[in-house]
Amino acid sequence: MKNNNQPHTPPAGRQNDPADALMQELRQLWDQRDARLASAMEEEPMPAPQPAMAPAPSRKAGSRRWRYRAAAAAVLLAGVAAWLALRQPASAPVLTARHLPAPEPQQPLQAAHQPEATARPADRTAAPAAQRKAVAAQDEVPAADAAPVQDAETVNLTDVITKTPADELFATLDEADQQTYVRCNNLCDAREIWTRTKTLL
Amino acid sequence: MKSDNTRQNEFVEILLQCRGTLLKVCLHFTRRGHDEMWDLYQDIVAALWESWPGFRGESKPGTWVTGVALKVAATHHRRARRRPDFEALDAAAFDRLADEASDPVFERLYQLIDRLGIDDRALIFLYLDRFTVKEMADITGLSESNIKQRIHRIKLKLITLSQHEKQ
Repeated sequence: MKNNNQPHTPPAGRQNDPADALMQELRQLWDQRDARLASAMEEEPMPAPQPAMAPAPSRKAGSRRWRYRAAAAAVLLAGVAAWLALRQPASAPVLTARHLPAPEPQQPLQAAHQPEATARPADRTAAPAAQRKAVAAQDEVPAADAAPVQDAETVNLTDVITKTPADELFATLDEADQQTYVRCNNLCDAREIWTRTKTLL
Repeated sequence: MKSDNTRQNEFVEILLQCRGTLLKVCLHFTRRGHDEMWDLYQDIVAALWESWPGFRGESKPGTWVTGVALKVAATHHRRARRRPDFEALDAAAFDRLADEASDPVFERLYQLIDRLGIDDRALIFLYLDRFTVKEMADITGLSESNIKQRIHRIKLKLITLSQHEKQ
């Protein structure tokens, strides 16, 4: 109920104003009704209306939470998959000669004596290979590794291969440059082999 | 930061203080049928509950409750919308209070006010309930001078209606 904090009584000169008289009458009825209501509420206190539920969080917020959870689960799964993929090379199929391009006609001869050379592309091993072996033979290498280079067939093959312009040019280099060339070439071969291996995997 | 429980208790406390006002709004903005009053009461309490988080206590609780109640009453069109279900209001007690308030003694009061439009009814409600002009302006959003003018016109309209009744 509104408190009677404002008298709202008309000024003395307007007591006979019909509008104010009507307002007074209505206000008396209003106040009587208020008093009736107040006493009825005191006699029978009306139970407080209890909200059956607190304002629930919006559906949008809920679905957003689930989206976050789904995204987190996806990231976790992706991480596990990546971890498994990193572990995979240990059990990956071993690179064999059949994974590499077919060697050129000269290659089988070379491959027969030097199995490791089969992993090299033919274009890289063709001309400088013999010279490389010749330099490698002079290098400080274990005797077991150097042994195949001394093979007679390889020497014959070297005679054929050194007829190419690249080998003629190679022959003009001094010993230090030849060794540098061989090392660089080996490095390039290793990179290419790795690239091709990755492609095959 | 108050807990949800504390805020809810405050809400119920304010509702208890202002239930007379709510009942009066129900009486004046319906045809005083039980179901209609009950529906309006539910709508008002639901609207109060929805706007409760935004009530910062800048105005008196009674002013806030009356403002919301009058707005809901003025736009008491049935709209199919989900709303919280308010329970534990004793329907029998509500009936008795409504009976007391709609006693034939007050027939003249209701008859006159019922003939006013919704906006005028809201203003005369505030006027008879002794709200100040400033409070009326806060509740209705009208300027104080506009409210004074309107109340003057309402008084004239009520006199005309009263004279027609007597004839």
